[in-house]
Amino acid sequence: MIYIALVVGGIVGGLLRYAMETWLPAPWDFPWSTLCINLTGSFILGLFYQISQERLIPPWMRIGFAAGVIGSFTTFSTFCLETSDLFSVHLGLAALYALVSMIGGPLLAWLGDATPVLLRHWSRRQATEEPYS
Amino acid sequence: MSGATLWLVALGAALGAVARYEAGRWMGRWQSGAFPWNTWFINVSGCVLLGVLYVRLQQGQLNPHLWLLLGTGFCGAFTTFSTMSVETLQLIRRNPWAALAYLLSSIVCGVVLIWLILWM
Repeated sequence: MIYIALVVGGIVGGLLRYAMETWLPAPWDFPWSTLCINLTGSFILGLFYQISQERLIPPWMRIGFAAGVIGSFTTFSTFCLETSDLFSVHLGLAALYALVSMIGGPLLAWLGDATPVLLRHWSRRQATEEPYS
Repeated sequence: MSGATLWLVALGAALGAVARYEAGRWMGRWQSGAFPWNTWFINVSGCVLLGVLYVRLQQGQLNPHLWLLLGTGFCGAFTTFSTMSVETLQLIRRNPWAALAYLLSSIVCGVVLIWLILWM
């Protein structure tokens, strides 16, 4: 069951990445699509880890989604290849791409991780404020 | 994006996802401490493979269909950015210097190795 989930998840994630890299525009020779893919993937994985700690998710679903879909959607090798390629064309853009990815990835993972707590906090405030309004 | 290209990317991605899961579990058995060596090795080795494939593609020695299967599909799915981000976040909470070392060494090794493969 775990391997079926992993294979299906890997295919879904890989095709989503391929579709976004084919269809997203890439103005100024900057690899926007990979940046978008890696940052949204980091956010979703951070969020998913937090949710899976709070409620019981069956292992096949956890592995199929986290290791399968999101693991295969985001990519480290393409990111490094694009950085290397940019390096010889425009040093500044290469440094910017690397910096935004390496700071943005963990930052978005943290935002995803904090989202359930923030949502609960916000909905509780709404619930307590309502009687007075 | 035609039918054949989609199948090639899908097959490569399925193999890459299973290979990453298995390699990660296998290396995880010898792992002690918080430093995620398994993801580190997976990402850096995937970069080397992608670099070699890319050079062959540019020299016309690699069929573009094989690039879709092995490069876009397999290497793209085998390596992962999201796991690295989440592991960095988990390391920051325990040991910020280890987190910085993990992130920087992954990226520097990946980029420098590909650069060497492309220009050597």
